[in-house]
Amino acid sequence: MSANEEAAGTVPEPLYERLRRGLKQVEIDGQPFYIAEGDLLLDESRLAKYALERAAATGPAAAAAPVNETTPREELLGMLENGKIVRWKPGLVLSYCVLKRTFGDQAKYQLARNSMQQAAWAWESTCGVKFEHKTALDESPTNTPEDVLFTVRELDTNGRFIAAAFFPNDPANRRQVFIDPSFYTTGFDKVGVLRHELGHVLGFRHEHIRSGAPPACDDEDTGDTVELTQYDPRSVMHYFCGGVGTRELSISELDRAASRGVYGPPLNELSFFE
Amino acid sequence: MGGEAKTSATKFLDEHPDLRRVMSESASFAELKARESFPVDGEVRYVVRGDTFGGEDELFLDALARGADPVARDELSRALFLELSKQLREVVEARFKGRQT
Repeated sequence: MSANEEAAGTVPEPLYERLRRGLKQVEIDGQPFYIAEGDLLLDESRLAKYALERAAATGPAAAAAPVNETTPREELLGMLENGKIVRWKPGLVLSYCVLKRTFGDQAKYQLARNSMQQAAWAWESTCGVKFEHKTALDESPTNTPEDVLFTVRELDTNGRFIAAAFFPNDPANRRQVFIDPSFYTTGFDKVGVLRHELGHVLGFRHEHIRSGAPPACDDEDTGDTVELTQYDPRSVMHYFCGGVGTRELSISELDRAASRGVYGPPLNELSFFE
Repeated sequence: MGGEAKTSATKFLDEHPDLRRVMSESASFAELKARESFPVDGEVRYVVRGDTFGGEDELFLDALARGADPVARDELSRALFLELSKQLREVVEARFKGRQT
């Protein structure tokens, strides 16, 4: 989260509602059916399941598979490497620790720890990712403890940013979430700041660098990014700039649909069998 | 393991050695590097894309992306962009196809 952000938008419809509205309908024996992908007949309940599965499609080809022309694909601004969407390996637990000794005092450590826990939970209840706070490693004497994917620590950058993060394809030694002391006094929702940072950790780029964002928002290098749908001014990945964005940094409906497209539905919505 | 994978920025600059030459010779970029660098665990890191860290290559392209905007708020990034030849400006603008209008 950058420190020099300055000021909100539309709430898009969930995919299920858009499919209901966009798909052709036929009546068979007095019962309405929706036609998807040319020859799939879906009643209301199967349409709901279909919408969930479609949102959970993991590959770009599957996510992009047309239902018909009236159904745009929903995506955050993702990253590409060798032409493929960047994400963590399926099943990988995103483990972290909050390095206690880097924080000014116990209260700041506790705030960072609690905010991270809530931000991680927000993403876990949005899409198929799992974070794990390895609390025992919070006392680690080193800044690079083994057995965690990333660390969370305080770093004083004189307010250059409120917090900073990394991407899945960054080198392993950059897998750190930094919290600047300006975090403790920011006017932004503190859990929201970390929801935003964890969005980067999951591979999502800033929303305000897309076509359609206000010109007042900062530009960034957009090489190897994937931008396939409408711009979402209420995205958790949007800075507060050019009169749009929010200070709450909540996960929007489009964020939800798009992150499910990359990571699948929340793991607690699935039944696993061996 | 064959070394660290190249970032998108590094690959791009490898394909355009003239841009890399500007990067190594530019006074504006030297100033930018000093402004955006932070020591982390004994290593110099650069703040790029607002709130992530990156290497020199990412910093250079990120600055050019900002500087390509004729009304860029960051004067140093704009100065860096203006150091590029017309041909190199077209090369970077093609990469930043998203926002520029």
